[in-house]
Amino acid sequence: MISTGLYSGDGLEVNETEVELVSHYQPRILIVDDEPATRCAAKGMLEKIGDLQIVEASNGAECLECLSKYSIDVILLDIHLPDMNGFEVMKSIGQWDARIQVIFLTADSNSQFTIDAMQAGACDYFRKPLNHDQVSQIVRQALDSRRSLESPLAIRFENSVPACDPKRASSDFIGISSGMLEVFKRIGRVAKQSLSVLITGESGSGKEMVAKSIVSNSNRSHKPFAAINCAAFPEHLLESELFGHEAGAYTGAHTQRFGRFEQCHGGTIFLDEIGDLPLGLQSKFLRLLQEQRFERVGGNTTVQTNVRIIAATNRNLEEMVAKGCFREDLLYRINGFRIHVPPLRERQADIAVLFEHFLRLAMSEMEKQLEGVSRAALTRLQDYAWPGNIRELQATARQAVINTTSTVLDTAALPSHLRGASPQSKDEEAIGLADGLDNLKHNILRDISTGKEDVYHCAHRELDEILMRHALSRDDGNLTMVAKKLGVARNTVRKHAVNLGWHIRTGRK
Amino acid sequence: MHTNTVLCDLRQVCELFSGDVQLARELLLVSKASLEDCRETVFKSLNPLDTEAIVKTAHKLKGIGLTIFSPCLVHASEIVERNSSAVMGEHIRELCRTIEIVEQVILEWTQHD
Repeated sequence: MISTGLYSGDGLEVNETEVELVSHYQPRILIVDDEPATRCAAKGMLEKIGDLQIVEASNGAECLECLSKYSIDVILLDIHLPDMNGFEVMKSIGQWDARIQVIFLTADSNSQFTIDAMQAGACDYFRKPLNHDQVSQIVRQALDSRRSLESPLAIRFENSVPACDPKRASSDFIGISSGMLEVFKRIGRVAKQSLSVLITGESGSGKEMVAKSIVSNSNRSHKPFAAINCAAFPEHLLESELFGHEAGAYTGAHTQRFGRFEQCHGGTIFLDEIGDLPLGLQSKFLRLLQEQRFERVGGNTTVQTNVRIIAATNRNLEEMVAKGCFREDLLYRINGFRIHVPPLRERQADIAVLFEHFLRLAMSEMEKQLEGVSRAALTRLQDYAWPGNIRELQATARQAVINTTSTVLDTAALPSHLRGASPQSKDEEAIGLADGLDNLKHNILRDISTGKEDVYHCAHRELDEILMRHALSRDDGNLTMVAKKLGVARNTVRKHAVNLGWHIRTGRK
Repeated sequence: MHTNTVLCDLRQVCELFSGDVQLARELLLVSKASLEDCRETVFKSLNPLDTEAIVKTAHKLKGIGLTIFSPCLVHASEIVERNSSAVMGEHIRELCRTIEIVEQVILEWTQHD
C-alpha cells in the first residue's frame, strides 16, 4: 500500500523495506476575495486547469496568515477587501516572498486600477466576469514564471556589480565569440595604420561600433571624426555635405561652406551605407581617396586634405560592381582592409553577454533591479535568428525589463515572437543539462573575473543542483535509483529533492 | 424595469467550468446565499440610512452579478454604487427587486436539474 502525504521535514522514518519516491511539485494557489461566489468560480476553474492545490482567504489578514502557513506560488487577489486595500496586501506579499506571482481581480472597469496594479508589480489582472480560457492561460503563465524563479538562473545580477553607466556604455564593445575575437584582432592590426577600411555586415550588427573602435585606437583618436550615412541624403545634398560648396553654387547656398572632408582634416570620416553612394559622386570620391584633393561644389579651387576613410555597408559591393552600380576602382580603393562583422545568429556565444549588458543599461535607466534571467528565457534568445541583430537584441532587452513583473526575467517578459516553443527536435533533457552546465561555466568565469570570494562554494552548489535535477527527472524521482547512479547516500538525494521543491511520497514494498 | 433584462446567463456559467453542470450549480448556490446576505445588509442599512454600507454592498453585488453573468444585477448595483444618497431610495428598491428575481431564477434552475 502506498501512503501519500506532504513531507514534514522531520520525524519521518524510512526503514529498509520502504520505497521512497519523489513526485513533481504540486503548485499551490491562494484565492483572496471576500465574496464566496468569486472564490467558488475561481476555484472551480482552477480545478479544471490541472493538478493544483487551492487555498482560500476572505480578507487581507487571512491572506497574510496563509503565507505563513503554506508555501504559495500564485495569488489571485481582489483589490477591494474588507479589511485592507489589495495594493497594501500586495506590498506585504512582496515583503514576505517576492517570488509569489500576484494576479489582481476586480469588478471595476476603471483603467487606473489596471495601471496601478501593473505598477505595483502584479503579474496580471483579471476583470470579472472571469473567463475560463483567460484564467487558464494567465495562471499557467504565472506558474511558469514562479517555476523559473526556482531554477538556476542563466544570468545572475549580483548586487555588488555596479550598474552600467549609460554614457560610458556606447564605448563598450562586447563579444566573446570566435567571430568577434577575430574582429577585435583585425581592429588591433589596422587601427594604427592610415589605411582605408571597409566594414561589412548585416544591418544592426555593430559596424559603427567597429568604426568607432578603430578610431579610438588609432593615432587620429584626438583628431576630428565625422560619421555620415550616405543613404540619408539626396545626391546634391550629400555632395555638399561631403565636399562643401562655394557661395552661390546653387539656390540657397548663400555662403561658402566647408564640407566634412575639409572639416575632418587630419582625422577620420566614417561613411556608412557606402553602397548607397550615388554613381555620380563615386568618381569625385575616388579622386579624393587617391589624391586627397577635391573641389567644393561650384568652386574651382582645389582643396588639399588628409582624411582617413572608414566605409561600411550591408550590401554586396562585388555584386553591385558586376551589375554596374558601383565603381570597381572605388571598391579596390576603399577595400584597403576589410573587416566583416558576423551577424548575431552566428555569434551565439555573444547573446548572453550582450543581453546581460543591455539589461544592465535598461535597469539603470529604468531604476529597476532584477535578480537575473531564467534559463528558459535565455534559450529562447539563443534559438532566435535575430534578423535585426544587436539593435533588435537591445530593443528586446529594454522591452523585457519593462515587461518583467518579478525579480527574474522569464519567457513571459519577452516579445511574443520570442515566446514560442523552443525547437523540439533535440532531446529536451539533454538540452536542460547542457544549458545548466553552460550556465555554470559562464558563472564560474564571470565570478573569477569579478574577484568573487566564494566561487568554489557557489559553483559546487550549482553543480549539485543541476546534477540532482537531471537525475531526479531521468529516474522519475526514485531516490534509491538516483542515489545508486550518482554514488551518494539516499538521504543526500532526498535532502536535495526537498530543497528543489519535490514532494516526498513514501510506501512499503 | 431597466433595459438590461438578462437575468442570469446559465450557459455562460456552465462554460466557466467547461460545461461541468455540477460546478455551475455549486457556484449558483453559493451566489444565492451571498445574494440573500447582501439583500439583508441593504435592508438593515436603510433605517437608519448607512450610505457607506449600501455602496459597499452594491459593489459586492456587482461582483456577484459579473461572476454569474447577470447583466441586470450588475446594472442595478452600479446605479446604486454611483449615485448619491439623495436619489438612492428608488434605486435601492430596484436593486432589491432585481436581487430577488435573480435569486428566484437560481432557485428554479438549481431545483429543476
